[in-house]
Amino acid sequence: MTPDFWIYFTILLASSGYGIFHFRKMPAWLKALTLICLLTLLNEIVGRILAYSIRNSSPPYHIYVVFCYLLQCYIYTKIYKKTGFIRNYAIITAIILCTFSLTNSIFIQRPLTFPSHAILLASIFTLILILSSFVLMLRSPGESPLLAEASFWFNTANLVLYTTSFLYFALYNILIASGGIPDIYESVIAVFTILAYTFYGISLYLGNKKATAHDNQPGK
Amino acid sequence: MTINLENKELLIAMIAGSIVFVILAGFIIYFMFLYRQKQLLHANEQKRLEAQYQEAVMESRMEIQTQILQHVSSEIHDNLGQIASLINIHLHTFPTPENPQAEAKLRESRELVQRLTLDMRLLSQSLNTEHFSEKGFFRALEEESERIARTGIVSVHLNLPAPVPQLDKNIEVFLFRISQEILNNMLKHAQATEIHIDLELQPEHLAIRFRDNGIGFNPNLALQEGAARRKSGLRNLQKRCEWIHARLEIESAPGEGSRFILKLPL
Repeated sequence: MTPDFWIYFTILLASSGYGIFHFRKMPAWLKALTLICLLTLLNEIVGRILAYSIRNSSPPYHIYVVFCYLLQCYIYTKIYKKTGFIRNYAIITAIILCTFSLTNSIFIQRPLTFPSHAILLASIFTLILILSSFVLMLRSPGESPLLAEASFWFNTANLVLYTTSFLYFALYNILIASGGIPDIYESVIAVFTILAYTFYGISLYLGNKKATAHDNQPGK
Repeated sequence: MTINLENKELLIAMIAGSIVFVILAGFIIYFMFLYRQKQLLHANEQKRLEAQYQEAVMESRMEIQTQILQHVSSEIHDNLGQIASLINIHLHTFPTPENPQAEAKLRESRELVQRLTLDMRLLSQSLNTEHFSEKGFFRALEEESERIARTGIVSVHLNLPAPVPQLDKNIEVFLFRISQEILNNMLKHAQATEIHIDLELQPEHLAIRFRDNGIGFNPNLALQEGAARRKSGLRNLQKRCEWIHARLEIESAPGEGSRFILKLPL
């Protein structure tokens, strides 16, 4: 295992740990974000175990991609409760992704094959959610600085993570056809993934801090 | 795995990837810039709405205050004034007593009632905004000074500029009520024997200086105490000045009298 994996794993562990430690008093969307971090951690652990035992880490990704997208939808509908578009979009795309992912896992990319099609589709759906979210943030800006907004860090993390996944899987065939995925490309992807999970951690920290400050207000 | 730079497709993939990541970073930076701009716009809009709200509150307060003062003024003039006149008539129709002591008392009572009638008429006029509007701020301030001087508690020295500037009617009402409040405060709390009112016309503003030789006070302490009790005459004065975009400076110290300097931009 490379050093960048260990950095990524440590950050993922730290973000998940922070989320679990403050889980009870966190708002619902931060709880879902903690679950995403935990799910990713679990996926990585199971993937590594499978890679050692059956030399294939693909099976958990078939479940991970669906649950992760459902949690993403839940988070966005919680952050933008009053926006009908986000709710409708989340419901429709969640149904499409679940159906497609099931079909893909049964007929196209079976459990021992990496579900790149489902991940690509989830990335596209999530990217649309992210961009819509940025537009909504611009429409009703908050009073606090942008860098102190948990939703901004969450959105930026998603933008980095899902653009990376989208590019990775969109260029996957080209890279494989040209002799495999180059190390530098893997390293760039690793750096962006580390960055994304760091941003998730920052989002958890800021969101929890804000919720705690709100709870400690007089009269609360 | 090694990078095969001769592979054209791989190179394209790498370039495309790099471009996308540069765009990503650019997008986030641009978003942050846009968001800041939106925040500023939003804050300005909120400030504008807040100012609009304050103006509406001020207008309705002024309207209510004017109505109350109008009512009190009418009551003094029509009701109390009539009763005082009636007492005056009765006292005049009263046969002059032969007892010199009783005669002196009757004469004194007639004088007191006449003074009461005059004071009530002046008070009624000073409260009546309609009457005030006809005269304008400067004439009304002159009359107010005369009324206060007539109480015999203090002597009032008024120094008006020549020629007097033309002011907006609403601002004149505010200025007069602020001046009344300052003068009443001086009468009630300062224990002064002299009040000086100097109006000075500057190219950019009209300065009105109220000065007394009373016991003085600590303005900061008075403001703090007022804020603690959520009731402060000084704070109200400052608020009223803010509404007409005027500035009020209060200079005072215990034993050194007090000075209120009101600067109204022209």
